[in-house]
Amino acid sequence: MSKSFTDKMKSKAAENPAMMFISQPEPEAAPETKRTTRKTTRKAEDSPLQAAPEIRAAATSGRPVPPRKEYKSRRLQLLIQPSLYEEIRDRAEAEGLSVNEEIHNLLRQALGE
Amino acid sequence: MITIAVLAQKGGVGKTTTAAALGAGLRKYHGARVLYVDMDAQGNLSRTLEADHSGGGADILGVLTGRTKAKDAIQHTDNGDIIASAPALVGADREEALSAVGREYRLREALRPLSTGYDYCIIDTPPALGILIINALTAADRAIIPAQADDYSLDAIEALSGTLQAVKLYTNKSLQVDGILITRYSGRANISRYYEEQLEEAARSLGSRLYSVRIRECVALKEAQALREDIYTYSPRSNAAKDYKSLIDEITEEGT
Repeated sequence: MSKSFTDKMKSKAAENPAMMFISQPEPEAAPETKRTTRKTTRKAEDSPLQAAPEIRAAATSGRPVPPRKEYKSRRLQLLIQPSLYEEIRDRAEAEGLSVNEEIHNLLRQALGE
Repeated sequence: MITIAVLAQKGGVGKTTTAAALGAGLRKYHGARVLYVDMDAQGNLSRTLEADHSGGGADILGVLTGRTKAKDAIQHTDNGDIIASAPALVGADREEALSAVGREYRLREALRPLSTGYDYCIIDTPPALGILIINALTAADRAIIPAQADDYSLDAIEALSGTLQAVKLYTNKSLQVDGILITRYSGRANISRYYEEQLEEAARSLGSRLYSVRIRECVALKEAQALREDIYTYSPRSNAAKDYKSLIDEITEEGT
């Protein structure tokens, strides 16, 4: 007789490290589950109780690495009118941001990002 | 009583800082009655609240092992009520009382009689998977996951994902992952922006959300801890105070 979906879920739960700290809700099923744990050669991604697929795939099969050119900021010297600077500074202070971050956000908004 | 567990299977991401700020903010801005539970053997939350966590008095280990009733283990401090940590928590997984069937329900059962005396229970957890984290999640209504915008935090969320699913399947079906909270944030680091997107995706995979607020890196947090003050009292205009206040608004605006 084939196992129900719930049974399969519970059986596969034994592969989850968290199960070492959770009492088996069905004591009679526990020995079988434990044997499965020792003998299993299933890949981690077969288990529904492992990490969510999207996270696991990203973490184990090569999470995309961000483009290297974006690792570091470009530094630039900006010449602006003192009154404009003061306006930006006041705005930054009101928002609890640095002037740099405020200008950064304003530029992003202006570019529609 | 709404029980909130602050957890991450990783150290240094701001679990204790978040638990302390969350509880203090709920008390200060919402007039809430808050009970802290410190399940981390390091005892940093207990220290911040100036509670005795030497192991000589009533503490969370006594509660979990059934030697002490939860109400008798509460210490009333100027900074709030707390069931303190104990150094012996490091060996909790080997405690005989915490090896028996039903061990994962110990905290939930212990806190039940306190549910009418408090509005919120904030549980600070250890950084590694064990019976303490399972107990915290089994007792919790909600889980908040602090994470830095970096690669290691994503690994930790992957590990935590399995734990959350096991708990939801076996010991606490109603557990809600309230959100992932980005801590120690630096908006000037371009790499942060990349990992924000990754964390947003991770939150979606957990059926949860990435909080819109970022807790910015802020020296005032360390200064407040040193002085045993909450961040809102020590430096109400600091970025950290504003950020944690926003977090509380974000958490409480949804029907709590």
